[in-house]
Amino acid sequence: MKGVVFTEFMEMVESRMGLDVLDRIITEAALPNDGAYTSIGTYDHAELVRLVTALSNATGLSTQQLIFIFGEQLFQRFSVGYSALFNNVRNAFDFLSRIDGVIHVEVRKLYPDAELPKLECERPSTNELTILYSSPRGFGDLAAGLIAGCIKHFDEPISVTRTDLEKLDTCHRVRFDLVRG
Amino acid sequence: MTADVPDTVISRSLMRERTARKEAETLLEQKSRELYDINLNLRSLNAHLEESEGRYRTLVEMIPDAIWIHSAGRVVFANPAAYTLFGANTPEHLLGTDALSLVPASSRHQMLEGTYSDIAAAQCQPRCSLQVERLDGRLVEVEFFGCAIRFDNADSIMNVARDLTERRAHEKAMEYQATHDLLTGLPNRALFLDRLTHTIRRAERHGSRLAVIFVDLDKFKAVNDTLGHSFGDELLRIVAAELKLCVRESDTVARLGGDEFVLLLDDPVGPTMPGAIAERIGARLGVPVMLAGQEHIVTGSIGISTYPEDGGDAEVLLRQADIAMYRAKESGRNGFQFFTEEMQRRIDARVALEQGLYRALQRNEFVLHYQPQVDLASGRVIGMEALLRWQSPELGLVPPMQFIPVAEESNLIVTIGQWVLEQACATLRRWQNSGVPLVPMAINVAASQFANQDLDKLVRSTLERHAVAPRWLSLELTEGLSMEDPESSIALMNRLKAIGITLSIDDFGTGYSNLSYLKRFPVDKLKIDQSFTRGLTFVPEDGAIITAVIRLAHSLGLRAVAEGVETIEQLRMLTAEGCDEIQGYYFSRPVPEEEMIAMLQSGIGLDPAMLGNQSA
Repeated sequence: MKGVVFTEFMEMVESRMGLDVLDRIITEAALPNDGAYTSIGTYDHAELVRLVTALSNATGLSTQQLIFIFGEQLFQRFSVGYSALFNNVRNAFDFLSRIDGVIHVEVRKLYPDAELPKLECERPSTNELTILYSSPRGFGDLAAGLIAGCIKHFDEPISVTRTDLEKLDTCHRVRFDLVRG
Repeated sequence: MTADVPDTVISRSLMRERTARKEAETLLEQKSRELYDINLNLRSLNAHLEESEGRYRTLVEMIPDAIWIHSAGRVVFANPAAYTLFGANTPEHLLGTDALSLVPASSRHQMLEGTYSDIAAAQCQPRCSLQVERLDGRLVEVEFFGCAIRFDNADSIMNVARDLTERRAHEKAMEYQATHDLLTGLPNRALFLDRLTHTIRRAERHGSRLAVIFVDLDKFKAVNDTLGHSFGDELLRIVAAELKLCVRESDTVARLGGDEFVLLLDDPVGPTMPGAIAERIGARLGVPVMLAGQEHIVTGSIGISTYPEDGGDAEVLLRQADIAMYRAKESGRNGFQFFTEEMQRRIDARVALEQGLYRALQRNEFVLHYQPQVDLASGRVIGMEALLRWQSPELGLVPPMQFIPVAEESNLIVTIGQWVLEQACATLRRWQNSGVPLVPMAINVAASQFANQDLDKLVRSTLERHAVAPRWLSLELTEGLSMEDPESSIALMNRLKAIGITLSIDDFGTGYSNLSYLKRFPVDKLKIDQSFTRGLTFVPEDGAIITAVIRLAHSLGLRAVAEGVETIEQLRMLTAEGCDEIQGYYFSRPVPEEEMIAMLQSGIGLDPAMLGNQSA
């Protein structure tokens, strides 16, 4: 998993809950590098799971909730850090439709070893978008948070229905049905 | 820093950030190195691509074939050869023009047909011959192929054309060279025969006539020898021009080679016209020409054959005109002759004789006869001349006068001469073995035999092979054969003489001997030609010549031998003049081997007393 996800996560914990909480969950998670993450590195996604679990223990919030919140926050951070991705994108559907075909393609150019989830999009109608998430790492909650962050960013009235699907081979799969209006 | 955060947390946080920074720096450095390497690779790849592109660009620019590409009907690329082909001063003149305007309307269909789906298909097809139109409107013949390609991301057609102008000109020049005589510009033999064949075919269809006139310059070799080849060439050019003036435009004047010209009169008006033209040629040639600052009169011998009288084959008509020309030359040059059947019969007979001579050698039909030579002082037989006879099963006994000239011309004389030498030596050896009292045997040497500078080696080896002493052999040379190249003749004579054989000059008085050479000839005898002997008793001049020759021989220290002595009167007069030897029917005709042996064994001779009485 890209280091930026780790650094953004730690940033979020520190800014919302303080340095001591962050220090505590790092210590509790017993990470191999003691939490010294850098945005340009690549790390085992299990370490993030351990961090989230430690945060859940510290806050009493479920890991699903925490990851969802993190996803929302992460999107907001991306919109600031990678504003170029938003050029000529008018709404949430447009942006979400471009992730697999445009954004991930660019990511792979920079990080050929990046392990990215698949986000297949369909447009059943103008106001509907179906996103099929599939990844061996099962971060469906993170995807849900990112989608929510995206909707928030474009400030559109879009409802999201999440359906967890059966695993296909090693891949976790989640379907998101988005309806505008 | 928040006050309620313990120092330990802060210091751990700082430690983490430092560690993270260091890792980030390491990663960046690593990435930077990767980028550097990638950059290097890209640069080298780029250089390679540039070099490769340059190479292909050079190929396309240097190739002499015109290459141009059009997309959507407009020319978008052209190589320098294409600029040249279309006469464009700058690329702009060609780029952007309507591609089809470069092909004349009549060739467009053909060009589109010759355009294939891709290069592979185009390469499999033969290139088509096509015309393209230059920017100035001139048409150029090219060899063309076109194919569909992608160029600058657009469906395009690549056209390749090779200018055939030079090749066509070269082919034309080659054809001209193959069909014309380069010295005079006249058609050559091949073209003449071609035209003659066509004219015969046309004459057959239309029932018309034609004539072939063969012209051979008289004594052209003398002009070449005395004035040099450049004046000889000049003369040939003058003659060529003169001959063209003698005939109509529609007639053909050709040069066969050397000093041989031939004219083809197509459909001459009336049967007398060829003769009239021949007379005109004779008259024109007779006009003096200036060569090397001197006036020269050139004459020609002319032979004529006509269609349909003399046949309908080009080669045959040409040969017949040639035969007629030879007859004209034989009858004293500077005249013309029509071909006749009689000429053909003579030629045929001659050819038959020549073939007969070949067979005669193979089948051993030649035989030697011997004519004794008598010493006038003693009356005894002191020598003999071996004379060639041809006993042909088909023709009977053929006289030498008939076949020797033919043998001389066909060069068979050399082989025949070797046979005679071989037979003479073999005969001498045989006679010696069987105890026949020997006298020297003389054999005749032809001019072409004498021209072979190795004659002495042949004589020496033949004598040795048969173990015959050189003194038994004598060679008779004619005056003329030794005069062609006197110095080398004298050298050869000296080598022959050194072998130990004797030499005599045959037929003396009939040639044009140079007396200053005669005194240097290492010969032993002069043989007075029988024509003088024949007239001896009734032509005073012949008597005077014989007297002079005998005196000349004696004063040079040579013996004089009279040939053709047939009467007692001749014999008496020759004895009186001091002639040393005689040969002729008076004593004996040439006889076969057995008779000659009998004569030698009997010791028969002339009565010396009678000779002495006469001289007294």
